[in-house]
Amino acid sequence: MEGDENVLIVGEIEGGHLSALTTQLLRIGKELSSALDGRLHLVLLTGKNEEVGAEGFRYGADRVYAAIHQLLGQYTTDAYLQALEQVVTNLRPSIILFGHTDRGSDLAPRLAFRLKTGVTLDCVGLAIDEETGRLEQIKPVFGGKAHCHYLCIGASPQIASVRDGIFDPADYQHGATGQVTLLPVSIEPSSIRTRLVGTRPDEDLAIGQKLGSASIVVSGGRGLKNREGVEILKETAELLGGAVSGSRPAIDYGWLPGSLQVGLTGKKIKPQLYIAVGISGALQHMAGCLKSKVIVAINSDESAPIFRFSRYGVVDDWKEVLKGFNDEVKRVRE
Amino acid sequence: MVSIIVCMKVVMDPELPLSEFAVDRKQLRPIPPKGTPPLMNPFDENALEAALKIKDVQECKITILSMGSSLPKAVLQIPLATGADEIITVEDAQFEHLDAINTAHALAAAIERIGNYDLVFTGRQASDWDSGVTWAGIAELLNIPSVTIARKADVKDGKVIIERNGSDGVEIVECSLPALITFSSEVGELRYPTLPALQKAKKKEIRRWSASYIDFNKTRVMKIRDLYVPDFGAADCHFVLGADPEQKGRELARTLIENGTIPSQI
Repeated sequence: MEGDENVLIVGEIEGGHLSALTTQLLRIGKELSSALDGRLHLVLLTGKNEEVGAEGFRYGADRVYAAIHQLLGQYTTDAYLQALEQVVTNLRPSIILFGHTDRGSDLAPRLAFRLKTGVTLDCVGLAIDEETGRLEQIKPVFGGKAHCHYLCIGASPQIASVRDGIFDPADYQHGATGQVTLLPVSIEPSSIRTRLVGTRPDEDLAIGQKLGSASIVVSGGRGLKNREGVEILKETAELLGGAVSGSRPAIDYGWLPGSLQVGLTGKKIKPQLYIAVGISGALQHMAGCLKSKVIVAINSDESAPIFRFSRYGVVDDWKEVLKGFNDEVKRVRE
Repeated sequence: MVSIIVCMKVVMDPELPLSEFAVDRKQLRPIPPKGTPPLMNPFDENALEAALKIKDVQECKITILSMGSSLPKAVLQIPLATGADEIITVEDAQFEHLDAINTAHALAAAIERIGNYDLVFTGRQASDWDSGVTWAGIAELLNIPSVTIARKADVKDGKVIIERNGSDGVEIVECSLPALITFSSEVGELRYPTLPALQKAKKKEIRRWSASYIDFNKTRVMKIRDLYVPDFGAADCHFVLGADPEQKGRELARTLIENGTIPSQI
């Protein structure tokens, strides 16, 4: 083994490439491995041999590993955990980083308990603590109202998942190449206790997927007062070629489907323009939209926290404000 | 009959505004707000609602499991009033400010004490520390399969059928029993208890266990180095003015079009 202070990134593949979040992990992973005088390793778990592994070198990985097994073609917690446990036993990294995705938030904590170590999910900052040489894991807690710095002191490896969009992607070096190392893994088919029996298309989910790519989003909260309010937001969104979303109350009241919830436990989006209508600006909500380029708040309560995060604010009855807003947009475009 | 254990945590109200939230940076814990009573973690309420939906259609026993240092009775009565059959609490002074890893060990030990179960339901995370780790520990320590962030669960032919939101639509997952499933707001809010049910719940016995009864021993893997309210930046909001709301709206549109935030043509 070449030292025990290596950083292992558990990568994800999206559309035949490393996911954007994986390239972000490679940037922070490099910083951490350099601080530890260690190496940066990337592992991909997959059902078949893919070209994508070589991309890891171009994003700065010192080594790229692939664990290929037929039972890794379809994601199951049991198969992926078994494979990862073997990968970790083999590579003995000091730090393991996951993206905080559906998969990462499922695997990271179970792996931690299996390895009898600690874990911090949804980190927004990572650094090597100078005093102890351990990984300082910064995580928003209490819905984002506080930040907590954790150290895993009693065990190894140190495991964390990282929120999307916190770190820039690693620099892409065209010429960098290397040989992907295959890691043998054995998976017992009878140990897989869950089975995906089907996928049903869902209109609401499909709408939710489009939200991530919209450059203008008009979002409503408790202040809409009723379902009819959503229709007015839709009109504005349509006018601007944008999409509609909501904060948790708008979903809890049934005005909008859950797939359109923006926030800590919903979608995290970063449009060019985010218009928050009748949204108070609780930090749980802001966690989903704070990365927007321009935030505009329309709220009748001038003390609403949303204005702290907004570039432009209007304090007044949102219905009347949007009416004037829509009229003006139409007038200019005529 | 299906036996479901729902793990529920009493938390500080997550809707507490930032202006009333404070931490003790020396003790590394939040300062309990005055006048805002604690409540059940909303995600755990979603988990209970998912269990009640199973009980709506088949014979089912729901056991609530909650742990802490001294749990408020009023909060514990709500799950009983909505249809849960019994409630077990594990209360001990050492459970105050317990981290997720230790919480998972304690809950798993308590579930082993309960013994007979088909399903363990939890919220996706607790809305105080937001760790999202406890469920994984319970499943791993009990060596049972897990499915996260379900929107629905049904028990049929000795299996649990789960629906969850996936990237290509609603995934239908089949899982052997016993299993652990986590839930979130997709399930819908917990049904309201009726007044007579609340009265009845007040009379129900709460089974209280201690840490030693479940053979719990604290371990120290994670350490909190710092806890603070971050600087959210100075307010730098440009307020759009006007004689009436409509005029403010027109002015807002003009500003956003002029600076190119909104394209003037589509």
